[in-house]
Amino acid sequence: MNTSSASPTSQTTQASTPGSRNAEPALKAPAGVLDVVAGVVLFAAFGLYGWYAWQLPGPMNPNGIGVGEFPLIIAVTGLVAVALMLAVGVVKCVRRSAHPVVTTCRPLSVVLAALVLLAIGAYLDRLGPLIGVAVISALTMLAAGERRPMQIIAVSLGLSLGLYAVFVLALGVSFS
Amino acid sequence: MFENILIGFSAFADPLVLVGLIVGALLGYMIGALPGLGPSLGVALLIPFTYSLDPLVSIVTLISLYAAAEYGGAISAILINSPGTAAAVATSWDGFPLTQQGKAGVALNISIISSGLGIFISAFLLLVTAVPLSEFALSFGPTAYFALAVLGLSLVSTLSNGSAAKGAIAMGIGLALATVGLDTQTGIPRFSPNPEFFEGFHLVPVLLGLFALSEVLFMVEAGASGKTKSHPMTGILAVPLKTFGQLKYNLLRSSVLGYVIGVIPGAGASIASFVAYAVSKKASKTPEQFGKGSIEGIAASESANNAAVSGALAPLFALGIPGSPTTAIMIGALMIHGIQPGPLLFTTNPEIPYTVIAALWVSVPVMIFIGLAGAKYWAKVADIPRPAVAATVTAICLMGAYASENSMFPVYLTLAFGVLGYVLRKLDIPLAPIILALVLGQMLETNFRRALVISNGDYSVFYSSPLTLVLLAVAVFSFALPALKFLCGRFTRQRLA
Repeated sequence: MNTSSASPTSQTTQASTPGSRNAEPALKAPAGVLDVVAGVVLFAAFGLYGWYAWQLPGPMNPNGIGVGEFPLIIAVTGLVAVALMLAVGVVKCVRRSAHPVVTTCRPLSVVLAALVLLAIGAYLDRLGPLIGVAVISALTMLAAGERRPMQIIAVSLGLSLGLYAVFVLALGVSFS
Repeated sequence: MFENILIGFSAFADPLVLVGLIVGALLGYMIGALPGLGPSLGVALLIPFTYSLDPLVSIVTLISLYAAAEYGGAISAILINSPGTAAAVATSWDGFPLTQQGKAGVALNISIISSGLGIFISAFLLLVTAVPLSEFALSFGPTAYFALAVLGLSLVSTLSNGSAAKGAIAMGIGLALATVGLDTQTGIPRFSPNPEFFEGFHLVPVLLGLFALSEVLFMVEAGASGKTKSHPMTGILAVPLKTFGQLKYNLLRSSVLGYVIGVIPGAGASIASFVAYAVSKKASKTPEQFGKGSIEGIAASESANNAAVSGALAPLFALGIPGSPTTAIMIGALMIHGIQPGPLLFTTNPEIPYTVIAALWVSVPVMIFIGLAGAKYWAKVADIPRPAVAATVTAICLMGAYASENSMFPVYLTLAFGVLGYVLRKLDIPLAPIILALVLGQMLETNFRRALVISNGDYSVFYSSPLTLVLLAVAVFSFALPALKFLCGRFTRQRLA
């Protein structure tokens, strides 16, 4: 189980730059508890998928199988795998001796970055490629801990103009 | 065969193909040198830029990036002991000690030229094995294709970070995603809340979201990083040719090993480099030097992990199944250009596989030149501030997703899969099996249903043919490959002890 972060990027992080903000408290959760919570959600998801598959029409050819049978096999496989993960999660919770912890550093920044991505990204067509990319780049850099204004402005503008040139001017992508 | 090779090389008469190869190599070096960004993410990010390009230019650019990213991973492994890719871990064992001894240039030289030789030898092996394999595959029926898809899915076992259940969950998610949309045989919509889902999930938004956007969230979590200490690079061009003469058997053995391991679905470049390193140590007259700056160790690891690139392409071209996560993404790239990988590829689009083989050969001098001439600049790539990389990846993802269909729907999908990818990675659920299952899902289901229709619903059809049985047996073997990984891990621990 990943005990700090699954990303190689985070493992190679060095000391903070003067402009960065790394003082946010880290969020820690026992891996077993996370497995159980995720297991319940995934169980419901695979269960729902299986239920929908069950509702699909039967085979048109009496020798064949219906459109729902293969998805049903996937659902059952998924449910078995999730049940295994749940069982392992429960064992991890019960065993107090070895309890790995999943750590999320800078949780507020991660949530903010996700919200920025969802909020600005979803309006990319209305904002247009120039403004949309510039805004989302600047906000992503801010969320990632960059605090030097010149860096933020230069990278955002560079990306915005560069990607506009490639996608809109060279590749002919239309945002209208 | 000679004529076909000429067809492959003739593609380079178009200057754009050569430009694509050089651009791919430059980007590959850069992405490989950045710890955390591997060839899979690099290929995924480049796909949107190739939509409007000629298929040959696109494929050559992507292949060049793939190979160069495997090279590039060694740069940060050698200079800052931070392997850019998993396949470069073994390189760091001897590369970084050489850097500490003030011989970073020597280490880089050996790694770059060994990588090039690995590619060169393995491209020849690809040429002589892929065509017979594809001709053999032409006789496959639905059950054999079903077994092939299962074989492809066996890659999941090595991508599961030790938890088989989590690998199976990821595979289940990918297969479930593959069933969304209109059923190809009956036209009945499945799991489609609105018509935008009828075409199913296109690979590009899923790839960009799961691999790239989720990585952005990890970069945000890591925060801004400081500069790493640069090491002086002297002697990069001072390695005498006779050094490579002394390494010739090591390079040949490691390249062949790398190719063979690369062909096995699920094995890939990292296992190839570990195995080649271990074999090279065993065969060496100075095994005590391994781990302390042995050039034999670097040569073995680098030639093997680059040979595995060609190895992973063999099942892709000959059978239509990926040999590695990056080749799973390459299948998507080929499909975007209307090219169906598989045994018929050598008949319907022979220019594609032969140009790729030619491109692998042409890439060797190009990459060696770029690598040696620009070594000190590639070393600086690792110093690029993470927030700037995060912003770049985000912007390319969103623009790329939009450009894939000229609509906002793939952008929404990319965003959703980005957040999902982050959550899944936090839960230690691997992402690569999702892509693999999404790519192979349709092949699996179509042939499963076709075989049952032909056999009047009799399930014994799946174990009545010797070929199907052999393929399923190989799949079982491939599922058992993590045991090999475990042995490699034991070797690593013994080495560190």
